[in-house]
Amino acid sequence: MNKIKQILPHFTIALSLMFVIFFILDKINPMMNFTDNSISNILLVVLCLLSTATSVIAIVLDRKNR
Amino acid sequence: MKLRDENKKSRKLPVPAIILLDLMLIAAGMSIFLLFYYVIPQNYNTQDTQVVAATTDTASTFALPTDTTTTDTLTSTANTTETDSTTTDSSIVDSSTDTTASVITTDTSDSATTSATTGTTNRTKGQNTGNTGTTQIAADTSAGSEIASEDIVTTLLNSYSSDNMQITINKNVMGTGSDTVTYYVADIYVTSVDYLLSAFANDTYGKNIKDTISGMATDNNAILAVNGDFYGDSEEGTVIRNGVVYRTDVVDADVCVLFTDGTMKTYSPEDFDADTVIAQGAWQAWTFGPALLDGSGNVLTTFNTTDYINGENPRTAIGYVSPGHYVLVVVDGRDEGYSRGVTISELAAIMAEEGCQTAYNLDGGKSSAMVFEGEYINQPADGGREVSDIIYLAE
Repeated sequence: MNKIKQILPHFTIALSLMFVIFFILDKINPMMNFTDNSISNILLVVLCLLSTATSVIAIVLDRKNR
Repeated sequence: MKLRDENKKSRKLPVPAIILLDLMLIAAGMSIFLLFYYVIPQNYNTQDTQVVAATTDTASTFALPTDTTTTDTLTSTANTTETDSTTTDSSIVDSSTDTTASVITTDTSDSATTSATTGTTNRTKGQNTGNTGTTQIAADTSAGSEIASEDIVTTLLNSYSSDNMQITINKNVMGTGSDTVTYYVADIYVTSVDYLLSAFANDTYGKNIKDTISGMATDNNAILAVNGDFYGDSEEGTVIRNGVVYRTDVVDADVCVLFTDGTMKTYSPEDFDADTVIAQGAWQAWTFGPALLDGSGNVLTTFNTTDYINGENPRTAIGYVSPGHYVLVVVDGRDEGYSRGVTISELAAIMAEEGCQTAYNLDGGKSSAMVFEGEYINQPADGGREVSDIIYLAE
């Protein structure tokens, strides 16, 4: 569980920055269509799940520490 | 207890190492994404495909031209590799009395051989870009008059004649120096749209399934082939091929439909209705664009495209003159001194000059290629690229 708690934020950061790169590339060249394809849609769902899990863990830890 | 805490502290990675690891994680993630997005072939679902048009019973038939000077010339040169020279108005010029023309002919033979070699050996897997994120871009109204006033040197490269079709391929050169533009025009007459076909790479409908244009032409016994709309580059956009509907969703690009009665129409995304065109007998439908002419041979005042596509590029276009009479044009580009490529406005002007009523821009850039009897006619930019589909003529 501790390992997961440690790794989750890194995956969230990586996936979030990947989407930042996708958005920048799509702004430069919209025809690359990095943000609106079936793979990036799946990645977006994964990012949402990771963000939720990371946030829940952060809230739980914060409550424990109080 | 204190010792355990100290051990724990010493096991912690320094911040720069954590940043480096995260960056490596991002790089790994991007690599996996690009691998799936651009490399790994994925078969599209073909369960929903539907045969909507079969030309054998319902298609109109058209007469081939019989008594024009051009046709007589074609017949006499059919199935040969000899080249003759013609002027812009297609009248025959004796090459022995026209030094300029004979020089051009020699040059053409050389370039055709070179392109054939380059085309078949140096295929690259460059990334393609589709016509999405479009806006209405005003046509360059001066392009038409510039094209019309240019001295175009036309050389007859190849021709083919049979009971079912007549094909003439001309090489046209206009401009000089860095402004030179070289393009190839295939003037096509068919007795039925049965002979104007399209094919998928490896005969498979899917993403990242690609082949060379000459490879697909050989696989399908094509007499003449050009690249199509690179449907496999996008997961959306109408795809109807040889009377089979694969998908009918509309994107922001224009759609071109060839019907079984031999007519060809272009539609803006707003005007396109899949059910209507299917009911009218859609034989082929391509999604790339933009549409170039208004259906009466006039260049459109605005093009539904992007700034990137609107620039000077190698081009492939299909034009409709009358039922059974079509024009395929491939413009070479990105090769200063040989051909700079053309803008969408210039391409529209070329199609209008060729007598087309309707014309449509297909995939261009490195995709643009024309293959006649297995040999590349043009010189694809940077050696060309593998594509997902072709438009071809076969008996």
